[in-house]
Amino acid sequence: MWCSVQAGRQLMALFFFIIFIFFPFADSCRADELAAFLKKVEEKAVTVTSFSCAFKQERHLSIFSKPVLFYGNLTIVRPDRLRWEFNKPLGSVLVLDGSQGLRCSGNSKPQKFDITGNPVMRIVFRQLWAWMNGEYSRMREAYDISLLSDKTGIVLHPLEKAMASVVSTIIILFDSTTLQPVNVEIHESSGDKTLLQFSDYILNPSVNRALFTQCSSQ
Amino acid sequence: MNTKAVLIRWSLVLIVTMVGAFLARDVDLREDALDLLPSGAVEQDFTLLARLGLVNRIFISIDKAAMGEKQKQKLPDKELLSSAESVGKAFSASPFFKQVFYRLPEETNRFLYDQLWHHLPAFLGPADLREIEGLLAGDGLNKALIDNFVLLNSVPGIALKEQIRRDPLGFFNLVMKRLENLRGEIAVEVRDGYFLSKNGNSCLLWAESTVSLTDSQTAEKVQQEIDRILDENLTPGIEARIIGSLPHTLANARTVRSDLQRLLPLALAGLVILFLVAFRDLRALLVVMVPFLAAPAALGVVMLFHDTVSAIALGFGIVLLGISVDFAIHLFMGLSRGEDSRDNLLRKLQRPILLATASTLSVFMVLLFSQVPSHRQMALLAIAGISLASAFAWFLIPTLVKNKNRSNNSAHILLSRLSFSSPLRNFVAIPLWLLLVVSGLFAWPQLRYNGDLKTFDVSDPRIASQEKKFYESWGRKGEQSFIFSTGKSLSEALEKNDYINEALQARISGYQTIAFLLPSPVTQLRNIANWKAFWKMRHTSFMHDFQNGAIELGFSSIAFKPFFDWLAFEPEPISPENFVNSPLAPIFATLLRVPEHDVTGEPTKDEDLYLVATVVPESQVSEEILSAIEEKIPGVKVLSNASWRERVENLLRKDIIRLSGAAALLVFCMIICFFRSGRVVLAVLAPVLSALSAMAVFDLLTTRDLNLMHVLMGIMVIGLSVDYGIFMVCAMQEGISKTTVLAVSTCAASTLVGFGVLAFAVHPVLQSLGVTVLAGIGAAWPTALLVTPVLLGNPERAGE
Repeated sequence: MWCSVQAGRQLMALFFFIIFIFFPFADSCRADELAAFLKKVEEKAVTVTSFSCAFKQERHLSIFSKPVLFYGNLTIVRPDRLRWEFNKPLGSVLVLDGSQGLRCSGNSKPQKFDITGNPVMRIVFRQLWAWMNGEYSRMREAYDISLLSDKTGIVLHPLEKAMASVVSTIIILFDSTTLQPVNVEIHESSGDKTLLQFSDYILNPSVNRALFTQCSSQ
Repeated sequence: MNTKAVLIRWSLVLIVTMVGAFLARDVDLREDALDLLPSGAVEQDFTLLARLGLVNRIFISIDKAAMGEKQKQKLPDKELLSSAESVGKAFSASPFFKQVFYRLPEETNRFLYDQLWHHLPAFLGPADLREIEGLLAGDGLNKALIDNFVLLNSVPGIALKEQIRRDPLGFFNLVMKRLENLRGEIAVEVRDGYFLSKNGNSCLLWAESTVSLTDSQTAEKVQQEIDRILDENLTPGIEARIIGSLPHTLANARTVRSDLQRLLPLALAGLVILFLVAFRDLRALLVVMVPFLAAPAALGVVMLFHDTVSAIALGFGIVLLGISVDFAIHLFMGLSRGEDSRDNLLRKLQRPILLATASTLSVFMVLLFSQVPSHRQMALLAIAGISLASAFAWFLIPTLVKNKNRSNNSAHILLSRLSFSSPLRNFVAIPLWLLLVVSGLFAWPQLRYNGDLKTFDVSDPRIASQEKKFYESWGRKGEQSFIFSTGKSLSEALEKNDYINEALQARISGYQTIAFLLPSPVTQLRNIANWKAFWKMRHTSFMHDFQNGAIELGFSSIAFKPFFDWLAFEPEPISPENFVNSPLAPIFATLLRVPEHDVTGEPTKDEDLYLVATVVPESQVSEEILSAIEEKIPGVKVLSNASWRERVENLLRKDIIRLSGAAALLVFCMIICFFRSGRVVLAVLAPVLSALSAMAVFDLLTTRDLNLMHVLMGIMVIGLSVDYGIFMVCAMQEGISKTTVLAVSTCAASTLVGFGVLAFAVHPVLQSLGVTVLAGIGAAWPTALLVTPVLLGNPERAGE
């Protein structure tokens, strides 16, 4: 009995020894892998100054009786122009040009905003850029970033209190060839989640500036 | 005069001087530009503005340093905000500042959502209920639900989910829009609690000085403190601009100082040379110093009546003592050069000196009734000073005359011939004098009195450029009107403020008020009653329609439970005191003042009253509307910049017209009583007429404005000119005209040298002062010499 206890203790000691000796090394390995992965994604992103794609959004909210599906298009011109447009089941548009934005929904009057003076919109656009702008290394100040075990994407945990109180985790999966985001999962602190699937990428298209200053796409 | 008598006289005078110096030892000098304002109603207005912190408030714009727009954008906002934060903290810690605002407390938003939402019905007035009614009418409810559905599914929905659940119809926005009413005309954006300009390149901080910013001495200390704080806390690439009364006070004080440092040595050197040339005697310097021995005693007299002395009054008062230097010069010249016995000469000089002193004193007696406190102090100082100085001159100057110096120099001979025997007098001097007087008569009605104290403000291009840049960043601020409501309790002041708001709401927009965000308890209870009545009629049908519409769109049955719970809650008013002491305090501070100490019992002073202000752009509202508000609501006071300035101007204008008229009448009556002949009176007053005409013509040819300084120096010029006339006439009547011509010329030349140099000053006040003296004395002097003898006629009696 005593022997088994003793052996158990020795095993535990060995286990902790291994943990203490090798864990930092394992951690450092992962950090290197993450850095390499982000570098690869960013190197690809540098070659893409603009893109447009279709997306499907699936919202799982406790206040909806069932998941809600929305379809739309996203257009981005780096570094600071974005158009997020829902086509069905209901149309709505969110555009940003620099710090000036516009939100249109149904027949309502378009609402102008300036992200410098609108904390909600500032958080929102920081999120959007977080998923889509391709400069992931620069996000390390705001997020704890880790690499998915299969190395197909990254996991972000907001560090800022205000952000963390709304969003707990963001998972971004990248296309293995184009290295553009194809799936984004946003897990909210309340348990609600949003799944986004991006497809039909067109890289570096010529984009009309008016797309980012008005809701109409004509 | 024997040595003993000389010693006794000097000892007596020195004793009086020393007693005066003793009395004046603890003089508390007030170096405040506000001393130039009339007392009474205007002073009370100013107190109200000061209580609201407007007089001693400074605005500091912390900016990304002057660089291209692209470079500015590259400079991280973090640098700007961290500079604002550390500068703000340093200001808060400084004993020179209070009410420092650079960032809204972090808990502001949470407080607004938690507290304001809970009491929201108390804040929603009839106009809000009408808006809600419009929202619920027709398809409005369904549209609002669809908007919410879309919003929740859009990206911002992640951050807005709980807000939409709690307030699906945007009731809270009705109150939040009112925060705009607190911003006034300043184009400010609140970001992370900081007050930023639209372009994000500037951050605003404001604070109230604990010491007066219109006092140049304390203003210097405040500026040193600001410089220290900015040096220690601004990061590279960030600069600061200061706007308010501080830069103006400092620019004025520094310009005056620099002018005096540059011009006083010149004037002093000029005077020394003039006296040495005119007297040819080193004792001359002692002669002109004698009247100034009266200065400490005069100050001592003022200290018997006043606790503090205005530096402006003291400065002018001492300058006015210079009038009595003329008496000393006449005495010295008469006694040292007159062709008669000392006693006879003293007797002959006694009459003009007494009359000149009496006429000068009568002018200042009138000034004792001025509405401007500093004028009254100045008058008291001048009366005491000139009386004592004349007496000192009478006592001491004879002790300085040792030997008769009968040798007449060439200037003396030339002046005497010019005055009494030159044919030029009749053919040139008289026509020129008449032309001058006629021109003066033509010019006077065309002058306008400009009581705007801004004309005394030195024009500093640096300040103008700073202000221009400030207004570019923060929006142009036009003239403003202030509507003050006061009360023994906060509720009472707020209730009056609500009435003001109701009166303005229907007519104008864009005014700054706390009425929307902090209604009085009475208004809150009325709002709650209206709210209940509103929902009593609609509650059942609303709940039915809302729930059905929500479920149809795909919302779960509990999606809007927080909203329904809130709607069912019994609304309560919020205590204004709790609200004022909340994190919103900085928002209210610029428009609300609570007594600094707890009010125990009935308030006795204005400082014990609660003060609430509404700020209205003057371009938005007519004088009639403001007057109607003031008349209709008791305890409400309207103060508009334009009307206040007009009131000050009117008061000063009336004061000056009244006082100048009274002084002129008094001097005129005194001269008539004394000389009793129209011709002689005209001869005496001829230099005065010339001085007034010359000043008027000069003004007409330059600014056409007559300001306070012109009038004050004008009084001195009249005092001196009338003395020239008196001395010339008496001298001719008494047969001592030769020495008097030289004495009058020395007096006039010394005044021109002493004050004339000020015409080259940069500061508008000093320049006005110099120019007035140059024009006035420049005309009175030749008139006394050339015109007075002709008008008097009968040169035989003048001793020729």
